[in-house]
Parts: sequence; C-alpha cells; structure tokens
Amino acid sequence: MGQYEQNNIFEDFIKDPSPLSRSVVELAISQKQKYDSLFPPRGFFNQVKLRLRYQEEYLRIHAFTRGYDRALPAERDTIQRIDRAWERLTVLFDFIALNNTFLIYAFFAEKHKTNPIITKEDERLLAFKRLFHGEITRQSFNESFGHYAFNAYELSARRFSEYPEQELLEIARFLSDFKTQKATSLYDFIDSKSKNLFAAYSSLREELKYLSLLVIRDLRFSFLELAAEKNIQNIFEMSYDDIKRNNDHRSFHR
Amino acid sequence: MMTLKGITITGHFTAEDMIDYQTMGNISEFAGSPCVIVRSLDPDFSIILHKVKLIITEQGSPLAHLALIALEYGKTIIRLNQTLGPVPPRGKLAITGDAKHVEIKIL
Repeated sequence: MGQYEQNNIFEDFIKDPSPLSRSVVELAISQKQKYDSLFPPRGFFNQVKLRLRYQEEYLRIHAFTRGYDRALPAERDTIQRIDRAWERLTVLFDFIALNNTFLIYAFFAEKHKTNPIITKEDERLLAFKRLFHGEITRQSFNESFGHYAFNAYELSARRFSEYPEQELLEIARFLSDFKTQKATSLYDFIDSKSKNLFAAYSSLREELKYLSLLVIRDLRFSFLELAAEKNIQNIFEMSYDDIKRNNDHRSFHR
Repeated sequence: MMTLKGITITGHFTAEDMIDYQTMGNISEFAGSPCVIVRSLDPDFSIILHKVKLIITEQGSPLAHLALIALEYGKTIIRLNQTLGPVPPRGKLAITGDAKHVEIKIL
C-alpha cells in the first residue's frame, strides 16, 4: 500500500490557489475520491476486474476526447454561462480522475514506461519553438495553446493569449532548440492495439488537460466579464458561492 | 561541504563527479545549468526540461506531471529524503551511491 499512497497525482495541481480556484481544487478532489476505492484493488476478483477495465477504459476516454464539443456555452447570462462551464469541468475532471487511476495502475503494471506518442504537451512545446522562429503566427499559437498558462488551473492566472508579444517570446526562447524524436499520433497508437497502455493513458492525460484548460479559460474570461458587469473588485478573491450569492442579491434588488 | 541523501524517482541513476547546478524557484531564474535543485516538481518547469539532465527536488512523486514528462524525455529526477536547507544558489555537486541510495555532495 505504502508505495501507492506516496503517489499523489494532484500534488502539483494549483500552487497557492486563490479563493475562487479553491472551488476548482475541491471539484478535482471530489472527482478523484470517486475512484479512490479502485486502486489499489483489494482481493483477487477486484484485481481481475481492474485489469479488465484497464484494458478497455482508454478506448472510452479516447472516444470522449475525440467527440468533445469545444464550442462555448451559448447562454447570454454570464452566471448561467459559468454554471454550464462548471458542469463541463465536472465531467472533464471525472474523466481526468478515472484516467489518472489507470495511469497509476499502468505505472506499476507496465515494465516499459516509454511514450512514442506526440502528446499535447509535446505539441505545446513545439508550438513555442515555432512561434520563436516565426514559423507560426501569434494568432495560430493563441488558437492552439493560448488557453494554457503558468499555474494553468489557477483562474486568476493570465492565459498565454493575454501575454504581450515580447513576454511570450521570452518564454518561447527557452524552447528555441527543443527537439523530439516522437512520431506516433495518439490515434495511430490506439489503432495499433498496443498492449502497453502506459503511453495511451499518459497521452490521454495531456488530451484531457488540454480540454479542461479550455474550460478554465472560459471560466476565467466569464468571471472577468461578470466582475466588469457587476463592478466587483478582484473577483478571484471571492469564493464561487459568494459570487452566486452576490449575484442573487443584486438580481433581487434590481 | 554539505551532503544530501535521496532516491531516484524518475529515469536512470548516473554518478556524477562534478556537475554545475543551480537552485530554481521559477522559470525566469533558469540560467542553463544541467542540474537544477527545486522545492517541488512544478509542472511549469516542463519548458526547460529539454535543457537539463538532472532535477533534484525536495518534494514530488514519480507520477507528477513533470516527472512523467521527464520519464518520456529520459531525464533523471532525484527526490531528497530530507528538507533542502540553505544551499548556495549556484555551484557544483557530485553524486554517488545507487538509484535507491543517492548521496549528493554540494562542493
């Protein structure tokens, strides 16, 4: 048991979360807790069940990432838009928690922990390199990875699309000589029916991160919009419940 | 001379006679050293991962985002068995022992 308990996959989730981002942390933890009983498995039958699930779930997770609708929620009301985004984040965090469970399993079960797949993380690093060398435009970078940030899940953290040109190029400079030998797509790897699933779950983790950060960006921008609408100073210092209460109160007195 | 003890949590253990190191709290402090000493495995450090050979960290699991990427890129991460204490911001260090019992001498 001990070796598993040391592997807290959420330890690096958000550094010093703002009061508003604490709701994001709470959501992630509650989704993770749903799968805590799966791993490590207790008893022979649970071990077999987990193994069988391990060999299947990556297909369902992959299908989810491929079919995910990235379009923004259409609601006009900002609070409703935030609520819809929050629902999406709940679903995505559920998949992340499930995927993390099987990634931990893969880490202990698979002998070879190599990953030939070009993950979203590799694509992000390559995008920085290409931006630095002028091979892609700023707009193209923003469309692909502008929703990422340092301390990426922190709602108050500026997204890369918000950075001034020079500041972003300073970051891109670190990647000017970045190289990767990887050449396999996630789709091709999954299609190849490889028995070593460490690479699949590891890459799916990055796919899910990519999608969940789109929602975090939408949430950030919606909260900033709400702050402007309601003249709220530093909305990230409020909790989500306080914001909703504040909104209900103002609506009542309107 | 300060001696620290740790364990290899990612990649392969390699003894080092004398390797340049630097401590790092955030990305802007990175000065190109092949070995960085950090408090935790901050996922933001992934953008400098290709430039380093070795990360020494006070905290972190082999399943942290940075550790998984380090694994993919063949980098080594050593986690200390103790708190870091006052370490000069830059210098040289030597590494001896084996994967499970790493001894780091700050020279």
